[in-house]
Amino acid sequence: MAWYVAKRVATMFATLFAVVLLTFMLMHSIPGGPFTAERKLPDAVEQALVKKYNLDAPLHEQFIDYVRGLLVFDLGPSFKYEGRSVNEFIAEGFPLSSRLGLMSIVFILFLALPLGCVSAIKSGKWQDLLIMFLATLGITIPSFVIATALMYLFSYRLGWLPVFGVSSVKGYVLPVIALSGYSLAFITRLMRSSLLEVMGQDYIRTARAKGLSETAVLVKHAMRNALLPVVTILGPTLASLLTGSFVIEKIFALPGMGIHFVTSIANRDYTAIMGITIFYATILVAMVFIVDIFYVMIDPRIKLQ
Amino acid sequence: MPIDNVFEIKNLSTSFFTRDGEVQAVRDVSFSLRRGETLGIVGESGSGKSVTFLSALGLLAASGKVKGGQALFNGRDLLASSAKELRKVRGKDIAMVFQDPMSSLNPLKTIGKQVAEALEVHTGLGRAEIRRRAIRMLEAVRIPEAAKRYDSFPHEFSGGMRQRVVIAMALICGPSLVIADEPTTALDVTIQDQILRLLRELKRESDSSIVFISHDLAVIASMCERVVVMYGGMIMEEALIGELFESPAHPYTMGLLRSIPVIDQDKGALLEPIPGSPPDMLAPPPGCPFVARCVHARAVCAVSPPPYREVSKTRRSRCWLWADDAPVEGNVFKERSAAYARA
Repeated sequence: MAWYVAKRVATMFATLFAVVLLTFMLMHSIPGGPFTAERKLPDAVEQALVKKYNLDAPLHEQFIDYVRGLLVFDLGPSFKYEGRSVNEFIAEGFPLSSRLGLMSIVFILFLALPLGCVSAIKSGKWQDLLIMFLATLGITIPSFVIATALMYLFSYRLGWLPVFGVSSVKGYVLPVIALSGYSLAFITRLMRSSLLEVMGQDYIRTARAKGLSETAVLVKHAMRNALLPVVTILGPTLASLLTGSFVIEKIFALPGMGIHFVTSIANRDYTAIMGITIFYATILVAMVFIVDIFYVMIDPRIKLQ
Repeated sequence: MPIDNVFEIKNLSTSFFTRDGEVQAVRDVSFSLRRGETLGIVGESGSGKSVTFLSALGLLAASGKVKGGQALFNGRDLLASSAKELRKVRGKDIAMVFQDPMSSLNPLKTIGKQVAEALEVHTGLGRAEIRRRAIRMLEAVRIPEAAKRYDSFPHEFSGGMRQRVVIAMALICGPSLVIADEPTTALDVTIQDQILRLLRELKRESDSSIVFISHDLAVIASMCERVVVMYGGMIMEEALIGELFESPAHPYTMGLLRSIPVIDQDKGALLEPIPGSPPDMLAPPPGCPFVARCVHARAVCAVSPPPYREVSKTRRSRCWLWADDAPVEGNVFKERSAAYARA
């Protein structure tokens, strides 16, 4: 196990290095720069800025410089906002985004797994049809439509929940629901199809032939097998939920990570784009790693070699 | 009903309701099994062998429905029992050994747990005792170092070993009826032989009855005293195993026997497969299901199903050639009977 973990950690760093290299190259190969604005700066000012941020150095030197910064978790200064660093952006946005993300994943798991199971067990009956109808809606309707509809109903018409902000716990309710919509529907469907497939397996018939009750068959034999595909998808889902959604944050006026990411692109804020991309990649790789460890614990067939 | 019949199927019909229509998998099947007897059920894929027993035990897939008949176990009709009563019988009094040892074990549970499970369900024994018995059962099916292998997972076992586990799983509660559904089909020949030998040994040590389902007449012959031949969801013939090989009483059985290779056969002799393919059970022929492939078919065979006739004390056959009004000339069965009578 220790050897396996060590190997996985090594590949994680290799992956991250590739991400760093790629984003760095991409950022420097696109035309335009952080200081090209509609109103052109005087040449002298622009050159001074370029010099200040070391942008006139050869590319490899800039890269080495950047990586050296990364090693001490320094993502560099923002090119757009004088005196602010990318670290600050993340420190500001991530706590809120991750809090929303964690709430969403808990919400998703508590709803999607039971709903998926009910749907599979009642396959073809009205419960299944209803749940699958809602799940299809959840997948097809974009989150901003769900968000505005929720807002209209619960905040504007009923006045139960705040329209924006998270100054009270109530403020989290609508963003969490809107953020969860897609994944909730997706995981419900996945759970359903996975459980249906498992229930058709020979070993389920074997379990029934032993005289186990339907509940015991489901809990003792079907569940763990059916959860395997769900666990696989959970890593990327969690990563994307934790790092925030531009749309949801914009609609509910929440100062999260998603907003920073999108505005940094519009601003051509190199370091912010790279920093946030690398941060996102790190979280994704870490989540996939955790899922893989988890997988080894549930499925004895996976060898640790 | 004679009291020594441990299991009896009466006029069982089962259909699967699919998108394309009703698949009549089992049609009016009746037979019985005496206490301590080993009965073979032979027939090709889709002949209704397995479905007959899955129906009796309530293990059919959701699309399968029993349309009529009885399945009497010690005189009690399983088909009229509640799901709860049936669960008490399954795994305890009637156990099944399934075909594919690769897929009939749960990949995420240790083999020991899977063997012990039936004991947990049907007895109030303590953990330690259950484990002890499960290990003893694994030893009985010749799993080496059973105590050590108790905590192994199915993927760590070979096919033959897994089939032993599946057998142990079925026998753990000491059932009075064991239904072995093609238990050796998925295995290669040497392992097949080991498993058959094991089953015969286990059979000698207990007084349970066994139903042995297979498409392989040779395997049936090595295990069973009596055999039921199924085709197109119906029973074609029922006989003692020796009689069946010596003088088959149905054209389908004759065809089956001709397609078995014999070791000291003339090297030039060709095996004779039965021409054609089994009937479409979505729309089974109105008469005998075998009519399209039968070389002895008469006009009546295509029109109405043959009656299931007693041919002798031990055998029955479902063929129009046995009917009282059937012609004697060119009739394999009647000519043979006449020859016996003359001798």
